[in-house]
Amino acid sequence: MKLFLIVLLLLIPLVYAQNVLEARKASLDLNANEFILQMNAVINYSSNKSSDLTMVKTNFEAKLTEALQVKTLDELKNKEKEMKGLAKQFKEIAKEKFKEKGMLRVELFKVSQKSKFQDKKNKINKERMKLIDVAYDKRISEINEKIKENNESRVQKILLDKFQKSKSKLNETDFVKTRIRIRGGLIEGTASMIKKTWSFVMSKMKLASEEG
Amino acid sequence: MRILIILTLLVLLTACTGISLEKDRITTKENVTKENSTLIKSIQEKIPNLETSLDTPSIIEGRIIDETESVDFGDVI
Repeated sequence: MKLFLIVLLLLIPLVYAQNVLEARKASLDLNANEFILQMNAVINYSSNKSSDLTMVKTNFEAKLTEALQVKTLDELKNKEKEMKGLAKQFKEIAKEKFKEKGMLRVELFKVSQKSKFQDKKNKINKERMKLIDVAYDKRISEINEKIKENNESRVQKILLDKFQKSKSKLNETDFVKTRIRIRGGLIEGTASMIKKTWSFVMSKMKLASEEG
Repeated sequence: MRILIILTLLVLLTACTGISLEKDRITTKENVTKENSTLIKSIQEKIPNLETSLDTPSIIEGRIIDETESVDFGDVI
């Protein structure tokens, strides 16, 4: 029995590390695909289908494929660095190529409206949920131990209650980082604000011309 | 002449006392610094345990999300 417990305790960190790797891969897959979508929009926008931009995009995609096959977290982090470098390179070329960015921004906004990547977001959520579930179980057992030792521990009882409530709502919680959603929300918000202001100005002008 | 010798002796005595007092002060200061660093070290060692024992669900979630969040490539332009 003891041996079984020792083996189990040794296995937990290994399984946990593997889950962290899978969750991080899922996150990279989403972030990279969002960027690829933007890169495609920029390439399609350029009239002569810029070859240097296409080349950087192809390298970026190849690195993503490699990154999704690595076996350790360190290897994944190295691949992420390389991809970040390629993304920077693409941005610099795009900056040089497009001096007038107004219409390109509109194109990118349209693309961002279409992209949802719901399957990728679900995968991140699923992988993170596994990790959080394990962490909750560990904490609940630790708190229970503490309560057994000291019956009057009010703080620990409140914590236990919080953890049990959070665990029961685990399936309903979204663990995809809000940063992505905020960025989308900001774009949406700004666009709707511009739209409203524009229609207000137009209606005023119409009214003035009718009166005139 | 006698007055001069007495004055020189007085100056020497004062200087020696001063040096000796300064030495004591430095030693005390060193001791206090050593004690402080030991105290700070022991507090620092206790902080992770304290943090872990008071972790809330949102802290654990935040930590796991940060640990598993990949790099953000930002916007193209």
